[in-house]
Amino acid sequence: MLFRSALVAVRSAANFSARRLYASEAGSGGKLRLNFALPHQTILKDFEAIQVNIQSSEGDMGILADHVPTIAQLANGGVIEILAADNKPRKFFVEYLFILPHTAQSSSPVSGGFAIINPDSSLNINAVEAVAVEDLDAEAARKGADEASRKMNASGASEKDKAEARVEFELFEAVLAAAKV
Amino acid sequence: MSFFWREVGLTYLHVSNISAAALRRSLKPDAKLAALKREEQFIKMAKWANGKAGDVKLLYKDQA
Repeated sequence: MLFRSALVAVRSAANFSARRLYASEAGSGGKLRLNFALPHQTILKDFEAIQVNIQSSEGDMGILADHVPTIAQLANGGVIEILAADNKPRKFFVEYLFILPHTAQSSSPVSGGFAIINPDSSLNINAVEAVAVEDLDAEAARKGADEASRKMNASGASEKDKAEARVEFELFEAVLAAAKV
Repeated sequence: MSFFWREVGLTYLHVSNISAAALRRSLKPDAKLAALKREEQFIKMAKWANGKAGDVKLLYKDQA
């Protein structure tokens, strides 16, 4: 996959930059601590995870402890998979979010729609909406996708309306892909 | 990287909210009911004068 090779290139470039220091200096004790919050709910707080998988626009990404602080952007709609020591699968579906590098050693900035990998192996994920994958309704998403694609191709719709419909369409398609798993 | 929605003047917050609303609509009935309750948002405001609060007004999204 093209995206995959781009990601590898980004990662290997990061290995040779000064940022490498953050990973090697990290005092995490090999543990990844995850904070996962929405405006209306804290899903996980200081949760000890082994691995967190996200779907970024550059391909799927697995985040372990001592990960190099990275920039990646999640595609519009994607699954976050959290692997913990108790082996209980936790899968969430989120709309848009970004991964940002955290360059300062102080507390992490928190804003909507971002995930931040900190040098101390804490990972903050913030999104406007996230739901359990089991709660997704493929039928509803299929209907939504059809309606959005109609709006996208409607004659007389403004470019802005079409772009809004395309955002919806992408999300519904991502829901369909996730609900099949 | 350029975004198609950026090119027509939509902002990240706008797009993110459209996307979130679409996600709420693709939930199973039980979860959907709870999620749609969150959709309604309003601002409660009161104008203060001389140390006293004026009338409390509710501003809904479509009135903003």
